[in-house]
Amino acid sequence: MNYTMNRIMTLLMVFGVVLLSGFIGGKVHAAETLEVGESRSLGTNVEVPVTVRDAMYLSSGNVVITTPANQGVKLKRFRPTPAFEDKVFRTKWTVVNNKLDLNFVSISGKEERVADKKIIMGYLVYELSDKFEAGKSVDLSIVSANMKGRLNTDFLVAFMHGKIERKMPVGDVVGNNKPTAAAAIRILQHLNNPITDREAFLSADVNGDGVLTQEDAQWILDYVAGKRTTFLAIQSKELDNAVLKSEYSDQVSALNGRAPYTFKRVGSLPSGMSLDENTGKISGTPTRAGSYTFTIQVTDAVGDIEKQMFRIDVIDSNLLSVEKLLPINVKLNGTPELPAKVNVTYKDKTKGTESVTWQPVDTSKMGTFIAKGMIGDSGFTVSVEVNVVTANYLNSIKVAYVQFLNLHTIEVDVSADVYKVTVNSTYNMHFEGDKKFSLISSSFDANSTVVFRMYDKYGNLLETKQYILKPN
Amino acid sequence: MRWRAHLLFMKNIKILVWFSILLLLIPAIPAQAAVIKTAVGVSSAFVEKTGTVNLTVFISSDEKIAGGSLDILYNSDQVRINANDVKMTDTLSPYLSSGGSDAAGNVSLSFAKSTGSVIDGTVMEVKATVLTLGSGKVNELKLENVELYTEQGKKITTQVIDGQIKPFTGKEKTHANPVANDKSWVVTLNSSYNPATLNAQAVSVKRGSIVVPVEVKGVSATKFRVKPVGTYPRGTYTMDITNQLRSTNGAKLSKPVRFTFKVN
Repeated sequence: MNYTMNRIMTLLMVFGVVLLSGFIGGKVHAAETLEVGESRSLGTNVEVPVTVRDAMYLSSGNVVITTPANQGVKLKRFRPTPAFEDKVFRTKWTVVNNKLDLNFVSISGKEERVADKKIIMGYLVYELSDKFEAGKSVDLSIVSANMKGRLNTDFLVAFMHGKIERKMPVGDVVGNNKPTAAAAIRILQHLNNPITDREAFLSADVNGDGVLTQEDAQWILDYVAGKRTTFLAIQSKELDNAVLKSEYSDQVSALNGRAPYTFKRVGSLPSGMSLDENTGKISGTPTRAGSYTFTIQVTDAVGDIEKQMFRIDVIDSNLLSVEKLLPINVKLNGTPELPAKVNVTYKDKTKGTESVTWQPVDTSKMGTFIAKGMIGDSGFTVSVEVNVVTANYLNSIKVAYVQFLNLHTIEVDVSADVYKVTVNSTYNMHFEGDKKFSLISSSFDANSTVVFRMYDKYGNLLETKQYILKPN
Repeated sequence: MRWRAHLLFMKNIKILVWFSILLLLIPAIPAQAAVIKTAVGVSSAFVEKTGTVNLTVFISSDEKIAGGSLDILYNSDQVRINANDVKMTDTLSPYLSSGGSDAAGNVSLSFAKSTGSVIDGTVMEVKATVLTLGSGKVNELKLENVELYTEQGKKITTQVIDGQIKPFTGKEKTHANPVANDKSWVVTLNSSYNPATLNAQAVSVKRGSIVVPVEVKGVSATKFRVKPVGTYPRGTYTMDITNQLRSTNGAKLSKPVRFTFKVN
């Protein structure tokens, strides 16, 4: 009896401690969120939505949002939605020094039910000047947000800060500063009249598959007609093969939604492998050969969802791994320079090179394609991203080398589209004018291989070029 | 002789009165410099009580259209339009399209193709259920965000014609004598009309609540002809001319007109 009582008492105490620790150490989750949107614009103005999310009821509140000064982004006013323009709530706001101070109260004096737990309060209306340069971004910070809901009780409001980017809005394509049917028309014309500007191309590629097709036009029409509320997409790619009992790592990425993203797997990954829900990284050591098909579902910060199916083939091979090949640019209707041999690591950890037999790559259309090759008779496939473009972004590379100082002087001659060149993603080359960039560095070994990356004014990657540093 | 001439004169007057409907055009919209040749509209419907009513969305243009979009806003407390109440017609079949009803007060349409084509007809059919007749017994069907584009992506200037669901409150006339089953009516206006707005939505013929297919065709700047496609079966017909028919300067009819005639 005593023994039983002791056990019950012990259990109760443990339970109490668990409860208490949960109460003390547990995070208090805010149910309601104030979201300042993320907007893009290449025009002279932009509107950024301010939304209350996950609120069942709303009765009154105060919101303060600031924008950095002297960045070429000037807050002009707040444009309330009809509900906040004396229809449901009475709203008073002031804008002083790029700061919005907004107060609202329900006209009924009582809490108002929020349909679908989401209500757009209005839009921050900004004027953009030339000072706000292409590729730049400003943060819109929520300084404070106090709101009351049912029975005038306070919310614990979570902040979702916003930003404005000097980039073409997703789905715009033609410079209307928003997705319109004109963008869909332009995408449908792309086959006969290619969209060559990288920023416009990326704006048009709303589904993120690297090519412009009727599907992109359909997504934009669906968005314009309200059947789609987001361009959230999973970047299409073919996942690399995995080798039995060898370490594997690949990545699934999301785009055009509101970060951070969370990733979820539906279906089975190869045994021994897992998905990182925060990064989309798939890694592990597969323990069973076979072909595995599964779906990755991505959810963005505002709850929008997108799914895509993927496949990983786990093969048994004498190869442990193959070098990751960098993307290759090729001109429209040209022939890509695919490597005839690749560096490999064998199962016994020795290294070597193997021949690759590449499948033909269609370069008759602009966009990003995956070239696939077979490594000898290993059963191992290798893939490389081939970007079919209309221009040469890199014209020439000059290298001079002073041996006793281990000093490389590198000069690249690029096209007018290039605004930034990096070496190994670490060193920014200096712009010399007249489409030339240079770098003097003692960081590279003689004859080492470096990677040049060229970007446009919006920060979009135009070309990746691997190069052996030999004086010429 | 003089008496016969007087009789002939009076007969002519009578014919004019019965065979022409003099429609006063009140300049409700400011005069515009040029006639807008492209019109986008949602039809009006005359209803006396709650129930289902068929509406159409039309585009009329002599300019080549490569794509466009529109929203129809309505009060969802007064009118119900579910997702399956909206159907695209074959007019837009060469286009990639999207749209429908969100059932919460908005019907949308968007469409695009790589080249432009002339569009002249009904692009969408909408079955609306009138729950209550709104304030002033009018349920507004307001067109918003109307954008039409050429193949070059240039925006086309468009006359937008909103619709209404309401009881008929216009002028009513009845033709005294029965007419032939292939009767062709010529309607004369006292000022020129915008041909882009002359269509089966602005001028319609019904037998009871059934819409009878008619050909509506311009005769001159101020006259148009309404004749049956085939012949009218025996019965009583009403011809409705709504204020969606606009003058060249964009003005509306002061009041809709309903003209009743009998076919033997």
